This record gives sequence, C-alpha cells and structure tokens, in this order.
Amino acid sequence: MNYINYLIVNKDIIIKELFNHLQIILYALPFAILIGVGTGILISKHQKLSKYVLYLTSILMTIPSPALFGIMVIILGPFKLGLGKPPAIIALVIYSLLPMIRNTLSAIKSISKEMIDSAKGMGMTEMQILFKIKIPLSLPIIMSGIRNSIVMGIGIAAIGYYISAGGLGYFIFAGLSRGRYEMIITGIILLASLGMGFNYLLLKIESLLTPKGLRFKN
Amino acid sequence: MPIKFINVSKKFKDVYAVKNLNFEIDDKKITVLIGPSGCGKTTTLKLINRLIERTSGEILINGLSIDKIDKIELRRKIGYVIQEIGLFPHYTVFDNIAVVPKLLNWPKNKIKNRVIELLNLVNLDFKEVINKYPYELSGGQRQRVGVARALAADPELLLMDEPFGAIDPINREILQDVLLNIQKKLKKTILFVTHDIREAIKLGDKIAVFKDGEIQQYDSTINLIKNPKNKFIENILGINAKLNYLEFVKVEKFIEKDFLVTNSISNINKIEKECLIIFTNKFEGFVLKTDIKKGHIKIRNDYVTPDQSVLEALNIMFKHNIHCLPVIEKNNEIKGIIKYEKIILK
Amino acid sequence: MNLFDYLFNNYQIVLQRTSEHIIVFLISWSASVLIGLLIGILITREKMQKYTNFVLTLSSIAQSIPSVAIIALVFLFFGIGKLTAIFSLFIYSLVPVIFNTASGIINIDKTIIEVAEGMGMSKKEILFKVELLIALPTIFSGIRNSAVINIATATVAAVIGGGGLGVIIFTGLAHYNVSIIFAGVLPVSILAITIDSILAILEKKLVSKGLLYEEGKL
Repeated sequence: MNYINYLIVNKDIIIKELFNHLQIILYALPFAILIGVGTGILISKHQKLSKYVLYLTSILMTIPSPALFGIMVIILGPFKLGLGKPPAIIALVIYSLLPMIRNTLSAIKSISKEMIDSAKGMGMTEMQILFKIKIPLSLPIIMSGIRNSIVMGIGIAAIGYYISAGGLGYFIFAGLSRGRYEMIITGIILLASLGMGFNYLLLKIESLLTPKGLRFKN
Repeated sequence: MPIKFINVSKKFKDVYAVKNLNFEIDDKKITVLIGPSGCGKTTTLKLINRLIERTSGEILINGLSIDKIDKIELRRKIGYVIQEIGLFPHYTVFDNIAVVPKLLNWPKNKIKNRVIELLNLVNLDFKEVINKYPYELSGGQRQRVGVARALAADPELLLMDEPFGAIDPINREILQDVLLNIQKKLKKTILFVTHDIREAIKLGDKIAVFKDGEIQQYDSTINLIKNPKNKFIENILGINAKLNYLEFVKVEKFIEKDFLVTNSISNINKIEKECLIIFTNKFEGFVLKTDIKKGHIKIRNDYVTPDQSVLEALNIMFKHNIHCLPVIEKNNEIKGIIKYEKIILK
Repeated sequence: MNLFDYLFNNYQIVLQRTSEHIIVFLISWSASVLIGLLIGILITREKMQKYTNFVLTLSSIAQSIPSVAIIALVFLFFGIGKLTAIFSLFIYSLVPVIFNTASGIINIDKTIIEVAEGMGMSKKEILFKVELLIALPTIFSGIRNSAVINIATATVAAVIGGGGLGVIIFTGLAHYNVSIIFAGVLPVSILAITIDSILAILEKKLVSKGLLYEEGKL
C-alpha cells in the first residue's frame, strides 16, 4: 500500500527521470549508428585497419562504465561540458562503437563476392543489388549491433546520475544513499523492464528484418 | 569379421526403419548396401556399431552377439567413415588419425609409425599434411584422412556410410581406387553404403539392395547384374548395367582355374583344360584347347592383369577372336584365366 | 590542480582500493566461471537437453537486465556489505559463462559428436576431448566477457559497500574533483585491460588453431 502511495505521489518525477534516461540513449543512438556503421563500412576494405580498429574499440569497451564517465568529466571539464547530458551521451556513443563496428564488418563479410557476381550475372543494376541484396542481408546483423548498444546503454545511462545527467540511476543511487527502499524498487523495476523490454522488442524487429532464408541461423 | 543379421528390426515410433533383416556379411569382402534414401541402409550400418539400438533380432559378430561386447570396446574395434567425414576441426591431421590409438593407450612411437604408414596407404604426403588442420585440406584430402583415421587401430571391420558422396566425380574415382588398393593389401570386412550403382558395382564383392527397410536382393555383384530379381532391382541397375559394368568391374572378379601350366610346348598334343599357359620363370605365352583341336598349335602372347577392367579383356578377345585370356600379375605370377562366356550376360 | 595530485599524494589509499577491487573480482569471478561452466555442461547433457533452450533463453533475458538493477536487487535482500557485493557480482558474471558454455556446446555439428561416438569414445571422453575443446572459443569469449563485466560492475558495487576503486571514482564524481576521479579511473582501466589481455593470451594458447577458420579469424 505504501509503495503504491509512493508511486502516486512521485509519478511526475518517475516520468521525468524515465524520460531523461531515454533521452540520453536516444540522443546517443544516431551518433553511434552514424559513426559505428560508417566506420565499419569505411574500414571493411582494409583487413589490417579493421583489425586495429576492432582492437582499439574492444579496449575502450573493457574500461568500466563509471570510469569512462569519469574520463569524460576529465576531458570535457575544461570546456564546461563536464556535467549534465553531454558527457553521458558521449560515453554512451563510445560504448556503442564496438558492437556497431563489429556487426557492420561481419554483415559486409556475410555478403560474398560470388553472390554479388551472380546478381550482376542475372542482370541486376547497382541499385537493385544494393536494395535487394546488400541491405536485406546486412540489416539484421547491423540491427543486432544496435540492439546490443541500446540494451547496454540502458544500464550505462544509469551511472549518468553521478554526473547530473539525470535518469533512472537517481532512484537507485539516491535511494541507496538515503536508504529509501521504495526508490530502489522503482529503479530496479524500471531499469530491468526497460532492459528486457527493449531487448525483446528489438529482437522482434531483428527477426522481422531477417529474410526467411536466413532465419535458421538463429 | 563375418557379421550375421538374424531377424533384425528397428522401429522409430511406429515406423519400421529396417524390417526382419536376415543376411550374412562375408569376412574380408566388400559388401555394398544400396537403395534410395530412407531405405534403411544407413540404419543397418549404425545398428552394427550400436549408434542405433535395434528393436528386435540379433546381430552376431564372429558368432558373438554384439550385446555381449562392451559398446565402447566394440566401436573401437570398428572403423567408421561417414560422408561429412566428421574430422575433428580442433585436431591436426596427426591427432585426428591418432584418436583411437590414443584411446587404446598405444605407446607414442607406435602411434607415430602407424600414422605415417596410414598416410602412405591413402597416398597422402606425410610431411605435407601431418600438421595441417582439416580446414586447410581439400575435400578429397579430408576424406583420405577420414579413411586413414578409421583404419588407425587396424580394425577388422570397416563401416563406410556414403564416404565419397560429397566428392567430385574425378576424385571419387581416385578414392575408390585407393580403397580397392587398400582392400587388396589389408583384406578387411567392409560394409559400404552408397546410392551410386556405379560405385556399388565397382567396389562391391556383394551387393544388398534395400527398399523400405527390407532387402530386395542380396547377391554377388555379377549375379545381381545377371539375374535381377525384380523390376525395382532392374531400375536401380539402370538400362545399360549389363554393358556398363564391364567398364568398372575388374578382371580379378572373373578369374577361373581352368588352365594348365607347362614349361615347354614340345609335349603338347591334347589337353584337358581350356588353356595351357607356358611358363618358365616368366610368362611365355599360351595355347588354346580350341586351337589344338583344329590341329594347329599357335602360341599367343596376350594377357591381362587382375586390375584391368573386364572391358579391356573383352577388347583383346575380340581383336584376336578368342574366348579366353590368361590373367597374369605384374610380378609374373599366374592368377588364372578369364573366359568370354562368363563375362557376357544373357 | 594537477591530474596526478591525488594519485601521488594518496597512493596508499589507491593501492589498498585496487587490491580490494582485485580480491572482490577474483572471488566472485572465479566462482562464476567454475559454477557457470558446471551448469553450462550439465544442461547440455543428454538427459537435460530439453531444458537447454529454456536456460539459454532465461540467461539471455538476464543478460539484458542492467547490472545496476541486479546490485540493487541483491542489496534489497542482503543489505550492505562486501558479501552482498561479491554475491551480486557472482550472479551477474555467472550468466555469460553459462550462456556461452551451453550455446558453444549445443552448436557443435552433431555429426562430429556421432563420429566420436562411433569411434568408441565414452561420454566423458567426448566431453573433454571433443565438446569442450571445440566449444572453447565460445566459452572463452563468455569467460572474458564475464571478467570485463565483473570488473565494471565491481566499480558500481562500491555503492553497496563492495569497496574497491569505485569508491574513489564515485567520491571524485560526487565532489566533481578531476584528480580524485582520475586516481580511480586510471587503475581500474589498467586492471580491466590487463585481465582481459591475460585472458586473451591464454585463449590464444589454449584454443586450437584449427578452429580459427570457423571463427572467421583467418
């Protein structure tokens, strides 16, 4: 009963922080896709370069998220951008790069030269090859990179509370320091359902985008 | 290792995969199981190494029920080759071939020597392939390693499930010859599943034709071609079987002992046998009974080797208008003779 | 203010927090690797195979729940302290090990297992000489993933009394003190990268080169 009371009293702040949380992720997403997929496509022709870029991004991903937020504060501090949403968004973009680049590379790799050649042989134009072969084949793999980034981002954005970016981290961290169980429970429920919900939703989209002939791989 | 099937059936749910199998697989011979997919030939194979357990009946190996032998031990005594080969991707060629010897705790030196011996046997260059992983080999090389692996612990029995099915025709022919060569040297009991009648005729001493889980006909290759029991067998054989088989059946399958040997032609006047072979320390020629009957002794020099095709033998016979030919091994050993009327089918 | 000030002036604190971090990591991570491998192997045994997919689905859902939520959840039941922290880290880093062990094993080509059986390998020999060795690349990526996640989550676990370098980072973030942040960020990043590199070297040593082709690393 008490808990429902809490929800009613605090519904505004809950909605506000949920919105904040999603905002961080949604702002980061287009940058992550643009930079990640773009880099993936650009470096796909150079094997050595792809290897180095993948290695570099995998090192970046090893850095624990609170530490990466710290690094953002350190780097952006001098520009007066050390607090608030910008460092959180940038940290998220950096984290998203690895799954984006990796999946883009493997998507491009999955389209064999033979397949393109046979498409050309059948008389497809460059445009038709792009829309009928390259995009349908690579979209699901790239989508799974996007899903990974988003699901990861939901957890990482929670740390944003510590740099005044707002978001659902507030309920957990403030709840912990104040010993307010109803806040913590709210944080857990929202974060967990956001993570599971987005994962489920994006998986569905992924499988809808996957051509039927490729589905057996999952 | 002779194998005997007594009333063997296997049911999957309510459907019989094989039904009332009663047949005997000859020791040291190649027996081919052939039939359309789903006919039960692969099931029959797997019943022997107990990858599939039969529903009823009895299978005897060397007169002993396979249930009396520990499953693991039984399998280690049987070589097993399948179409997908199933080489272990994480093992090198050496380790793949050494699997069973290692399971049997052979000493290291013995294993190494065995691997070298086997690679020679399947015509692979030891130095070239020994440290390679399966992905670095061609399809043909992989299947050779698969055969070598199956032979590793010198099993008396070899089960081969469409081993060359996924290999291109040219390499398939080569591998079939490799197998025949191995068989000549090692004399294993081989059970060979295929759906390619050409392969069956070329390799099989005996052929069992399967349909819907039952054996339609089980006979020596030549008898099967000569006397197909029903329409189904005729269809499997194909229209040209009676002619085609000449090309890929070897002379050795028709060798007869209807001959005499002499070291000089001086004592010839009449002979009991069809053919008189003149032999001192090497093959000198031969004389035919029919020639003697006609009153003129003619020494002929033609012969065939056991691994030549029957078609080649027939060509020589046609050329000289004769009805039999001596079969002489390359090292000048007399094997016997081959007769026209045995080759030509009604 | 110099970036290295806090690090140099309080290196003893930093060292102590680092060793705390390492200890918490080692205890919780090795437990999750051991138990994760065990569960992963158990659920792929013949008699358990009907549950394999269920466990795989469950663990993939669990992987989409943010670590912060798990930490908070464990806190709700066990309160604050090192053991709570270790337990939540154990739970969270258990999931990728189970997932990768099980999926690595069930994705092995069935004919390879059948041939192994046909050659007369016992169930135990098949497990140790075939299944685990062929699944090793997947298992290793699960173990590495688990280590990286563990170190990162251990940082966050500072908020429920886990100690470690997270304490320094969160203190720095709370005071918006770049020098303190840096004193936590630097060692934790080095720690994460070092552990991952050690595991990468180990992986290279242990995984058969014959599997690189299938992994697409050639």
